[in-house]
Amino acid sequence: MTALLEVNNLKKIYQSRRSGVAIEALSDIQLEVEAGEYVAIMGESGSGKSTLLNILATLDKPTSGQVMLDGRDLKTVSEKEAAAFRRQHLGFVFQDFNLLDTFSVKDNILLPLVLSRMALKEMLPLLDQVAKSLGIQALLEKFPYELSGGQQQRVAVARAIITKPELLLADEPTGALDSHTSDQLLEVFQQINQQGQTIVMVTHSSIAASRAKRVLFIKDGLVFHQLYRGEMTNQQFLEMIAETMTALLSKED
Amino acid sequence: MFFVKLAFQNLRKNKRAYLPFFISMIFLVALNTVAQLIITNPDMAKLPGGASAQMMFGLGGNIIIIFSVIFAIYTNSFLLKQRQREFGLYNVLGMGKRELYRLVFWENVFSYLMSIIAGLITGFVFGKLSFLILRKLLGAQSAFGFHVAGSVYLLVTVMFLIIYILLLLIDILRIRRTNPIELLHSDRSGEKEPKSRWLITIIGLLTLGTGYYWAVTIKTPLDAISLFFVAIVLVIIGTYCLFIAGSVTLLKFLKHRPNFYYKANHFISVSNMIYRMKQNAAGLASICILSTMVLVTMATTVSLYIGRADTVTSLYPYDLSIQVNEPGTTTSLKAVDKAIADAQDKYPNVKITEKNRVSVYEVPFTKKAQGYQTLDPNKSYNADTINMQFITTQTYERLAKDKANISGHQVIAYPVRGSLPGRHFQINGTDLVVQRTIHSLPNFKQQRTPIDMILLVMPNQASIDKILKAAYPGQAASQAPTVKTFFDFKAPNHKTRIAFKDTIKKDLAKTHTTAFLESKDEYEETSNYITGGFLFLGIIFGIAFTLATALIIYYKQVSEGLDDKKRFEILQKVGMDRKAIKKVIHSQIMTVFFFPIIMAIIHLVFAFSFIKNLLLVFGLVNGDLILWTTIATVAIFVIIYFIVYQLTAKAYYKIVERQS
Repeated sequence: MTALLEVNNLKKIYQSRRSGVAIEALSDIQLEVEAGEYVAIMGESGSGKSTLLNILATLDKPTSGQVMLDGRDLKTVSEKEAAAFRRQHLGFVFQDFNLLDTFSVKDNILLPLVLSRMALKEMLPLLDQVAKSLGIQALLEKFPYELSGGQQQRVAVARAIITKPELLLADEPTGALDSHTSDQLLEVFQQINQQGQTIVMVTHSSIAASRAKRVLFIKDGLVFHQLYRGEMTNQQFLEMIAETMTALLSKED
Repeated sequence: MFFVKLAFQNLRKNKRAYLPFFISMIFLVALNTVAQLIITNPDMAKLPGGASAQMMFGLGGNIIIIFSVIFAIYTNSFLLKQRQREFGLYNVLGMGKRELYRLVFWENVFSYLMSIIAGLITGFVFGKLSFLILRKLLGAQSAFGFHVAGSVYLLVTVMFLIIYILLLLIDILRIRRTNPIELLHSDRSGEKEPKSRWLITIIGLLTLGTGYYWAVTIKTPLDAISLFFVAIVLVIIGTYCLFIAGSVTLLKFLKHRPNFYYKANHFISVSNMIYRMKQNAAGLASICILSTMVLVTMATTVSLYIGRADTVTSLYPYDLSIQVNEPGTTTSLKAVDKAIADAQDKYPNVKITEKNRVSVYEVPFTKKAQGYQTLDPNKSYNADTINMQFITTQTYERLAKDKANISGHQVIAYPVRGSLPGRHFQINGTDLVVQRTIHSLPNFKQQRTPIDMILLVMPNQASIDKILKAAYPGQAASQAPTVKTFFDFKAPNHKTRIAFKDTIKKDLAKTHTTAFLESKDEYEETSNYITGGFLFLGIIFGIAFTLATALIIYYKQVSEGLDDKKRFEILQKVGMDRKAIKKVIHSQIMTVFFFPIIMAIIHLVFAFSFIKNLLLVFGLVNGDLILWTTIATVAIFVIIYFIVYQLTAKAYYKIVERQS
């Protein structure tokens, strides 16, 4: 069985325009994600995890290396196609929600479908289904500024999964939430993963990572280590992640 | 002292935010200075026709003042929005609201002093410069000079003091209403979705409709000016209401049509436009009003300038016309004949053509349901005034070389301007029947006047006398005919022409008769001053309004760019490609661009009948000329508008597309 996502020898170098100094964000990333997996990528800020996610999201281009999604090399996705490709194959959840303040909740969720020129008749059942599974039916007519952070993030998740993407990419989804709403959101993630949704989440929160099935540690642009949950409970997995983090950090010193 | 210093520092450090504000305020001060200098110029009244010119530009001056207040509030709100976060920071750092008020007070004091000084100087320089150009335009002998009245500076200074006090109050109110956290985050807080406001929309429709109706139904030029001012105010109110409330109401209506709304190209545009209209409606309405002003001003003055030859011909059908109006005219008529004969002896190479003499009775009447009644001599002319000319059948037959064939109550009617109430009508109770209507009278070309005029051929002298006696009982002088002697003449050169005319004029003056001479050449000379002067003033107003329009467009683009930047970033992440985003941006920009100018053109269409009426006062009757000038003005303005727009749109794209 081939992996849904395959990343080979990925390298990204940023050239500072002013000083001409090259900064290596990713030096040699190697990873695979199977369909139906829930992978958390952990690392301190500056470790390159956001760069990796941007490349996976086709928002950024690697300096060298290869990214394959469902057997297709992302390099062959032209700039022109990139937007449609993102819409059809990928879903995004961002730290700062990125909801459009000019749209109601309903319209925010429908946005990717409208962009794909789907007929209204087909959209509404999908909306119902997603809203129900995320428990946001009551919020549909509200506007983002009327919602709490947790509610906004749920709307963002709904927008991301309404297109039934092969891969859901989450960039610090709990970053702007308190612990209680974080918990609820992670619950949602676990639930949609159980329904078969593949998720790749970038985070520096051990708690968030402990909900995933597998955790990758990135440091200095390299995949340093990885942990499998196996049969562990959330709590056990969390403790293991915390230990690994401590070990990784102390090794640096 | 601390606040004075801090305020001064703020102005210096916030250059980027303050500079457009200063430019606008200096521009407004300069604009008002130039406008007031023009209006109060004593030489204006000295020009023939200067009184109505002064009235017209006085009107323009008032509109500029109203505009200045609105525009000042607009720029200030733009500035305030950018500076709210700064106020919040001061507040958090321990500055109370009272201290903030003091800070804002001193900032406004400095701002006022700087803009008033710079504005007055700019206004003076531009006023001086423009009058120099004007003098050149009119010729050296022009009586049109540059006068600097201290009162103008005082007026402008006081006016802007009031405007700045108003701005200060707005600032204070705004600071008072918000708390520090809100101030800090004011630019990030979600905006409420604007509501449909049916009441304001309906008010807008009503005021606009009434304004349009009045503008279109103005029948007589004399009514035009006063009534039109009211119409202008109504249209301005209507425009603001419709832009602010009507646009949102319409967009919300579209939004509630799911089959229209949930389409890729409508979805983003409609929802974005709702917010965009909420924020920019006032600016767009201002652009619309200003554009209309430019168009009306330019169309009017350019028409007048281009059509000045037409004007002269329509007001002066003959090169020279001498009128004698007194009982027992023979002595005076002899003097007239002698003056012409003497002049011809002196200038034998001047050739007189089309010479004729017509005895005509002229009486002003007021229109009534059944016919006409003598105009009350204590009342001034108005829309219901009509001038009647009566001639006898003998005169008619001599001129037209045509049998009149009328008797009893029958008349031949020649409606020079306006129309008859019907075949049967009364004059002071005397019944008359129109036997036939004619549309020209050979050998007696008629002057085009702004007032309605009908020429009636009466069966005989007795029937004319009867009407005159009823009109002016016991006033022999008023019952006397006007004897018009008129002719064209050709001279080998312009100098001889003027000399020939002057000789007759001087001769007649010596005879002490009531003879009154009208010379086409004389009028042509003064007409050049008036139309040239008007064109010049029109250009000044046009440039001023165009500049204001450009400034508003600039503001709009910048403020919208900042707001839209984040929105388009999100859209890109969610899966909208650059091309589609560009298309949406472009279509939004084009809508915002075309909306005000299309409204302005609609305003102009409704103002067109006013323009025609106004130009009639100046004797311009050539409707085609006015129409084509107006169309050309619109075309040129649209091009200029488009260029200004393109330049500022670039600034917008730069902001929106950065990084993405």
